[in-house]
Amino acid sequence: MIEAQELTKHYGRTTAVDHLTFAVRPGHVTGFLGPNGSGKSTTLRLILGLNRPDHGRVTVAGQVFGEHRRGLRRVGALLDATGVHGGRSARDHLAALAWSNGLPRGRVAEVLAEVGLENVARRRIGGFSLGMKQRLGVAAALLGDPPVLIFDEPFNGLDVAGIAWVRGLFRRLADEGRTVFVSSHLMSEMAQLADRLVVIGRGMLLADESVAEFAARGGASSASLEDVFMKLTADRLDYRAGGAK
Amino acid sequence: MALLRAEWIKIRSLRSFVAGLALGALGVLYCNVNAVVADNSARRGGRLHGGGGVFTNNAHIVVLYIFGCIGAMTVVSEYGSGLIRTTFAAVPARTEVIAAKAIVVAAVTAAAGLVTYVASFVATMILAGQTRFPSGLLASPDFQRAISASVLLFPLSALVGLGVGVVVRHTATSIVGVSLLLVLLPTFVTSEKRAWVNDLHNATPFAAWQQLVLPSQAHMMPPPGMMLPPPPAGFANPTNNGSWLVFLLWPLTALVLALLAIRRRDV
Repeated sequence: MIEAQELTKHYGRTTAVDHLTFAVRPGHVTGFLGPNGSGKSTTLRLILGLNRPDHGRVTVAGQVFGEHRRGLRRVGALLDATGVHGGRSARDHLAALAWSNGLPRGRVAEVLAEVGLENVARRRIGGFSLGMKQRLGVAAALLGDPPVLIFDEPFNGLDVAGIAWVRGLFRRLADEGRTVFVSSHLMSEMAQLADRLVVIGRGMLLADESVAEFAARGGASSASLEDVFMKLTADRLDYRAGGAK
Repeated sequence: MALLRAEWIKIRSLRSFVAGLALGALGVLYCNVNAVVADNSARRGGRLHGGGGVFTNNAHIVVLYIFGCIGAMTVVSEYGSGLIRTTFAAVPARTEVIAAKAIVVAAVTAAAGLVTYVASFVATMILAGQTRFPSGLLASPDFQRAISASVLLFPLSALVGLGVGVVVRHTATSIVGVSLLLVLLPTFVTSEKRAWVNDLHNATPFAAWQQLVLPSQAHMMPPPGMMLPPPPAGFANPTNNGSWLVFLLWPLTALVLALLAIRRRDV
């Protein structure tokens, strides 16, 4: 369970996150949606204690995450698949993380097999494709077998098979009773995956509801989730091509 | 202990770090050996007997610069790649991460310093045609002080670099910061008129090392390149105790600043 109350973060004069209140429940895959620059990544960093809120608070299982000494057994996170040192092997990258949290040694091999990277475990990450780095990031998130998992844009760079695999994995993790929070700027990715949606625009909450409730916003017309999303965020876009604003 | 192991894995798994360490050590070895080769009296064993031949000024500038940069890179590489977010999401106790990194970096660079100076000593002995270790040298307080200061200069430089890296967080700026603090500051900050500038110079690791490797007895010649003019009358001379204090306070201050910066800042 992730709970944000009145969460607010400013960068200079810009308000990245603006009085956000929402809850992410266990046992579901919750999609975290918003246009580019809407504050999704900032919100995830606030959840993980990497950034401090200017106002409000966010808790994981009732506690502020940054107050724990070790994190991997509580929350697994994939924030940025390219945030790895290219000179290190996949196995060393995960081994350092595992040691830092006192996790059993066998976990590294287990998660590498889980994401399908066991054959390249000794290769340097610098030679990995973006899709392979995403898999490595998922492996790092799974390392501590945590009840809460956060993924920021996990589909970037994955091929069709990879996307299908990730969907299946997220479904399974949610069915095991875990909290799965997945950010994306593409509604189409979420439509087949999420049970619930948290939608933000310009740092403000636009929707926090089930996918069915969200679809019902389209009314009697056969509007797709994509259409509803576009309509909802239409006046919350910071960056729009073609000069129209 | 587990955190130390994690930081150790991070360091030993990077070829660039290991290569930097080896090249830095070779650079120091070259400076030390070269000074002895260039110095005929050392070849006859005169200086070597006092141990002075292996403690050369050029080598200590190499140590300050190269190992300062290596220390900075251990943190800056995490900021540059974005790995730092993964690190701190895994270990929200950030001060523990930095402390563990500092311990590992200090241990690894101290070991590199010891190996470098043992190698320097063996190499200069061979060049001077000595087959037996000069008797009594290890027991000589001058030699003990000089070798300790020279080896400890490695972790000192690396820890100051690490502190600069945590505070600055950017690669190029950190390298400039390390060069300014450790190498350029002591060269620029000298004065024959103002006592406080002279004191400031004495308070740099650069000057402290020079003081600590100077033989205390007049019959032993100072190491090559270290014939420093005495400070003008009324100015404070560097002392051994003061210089040891400098060796303690510089890395300590760098670490404290790093820990303060890391606690509350957004990453």
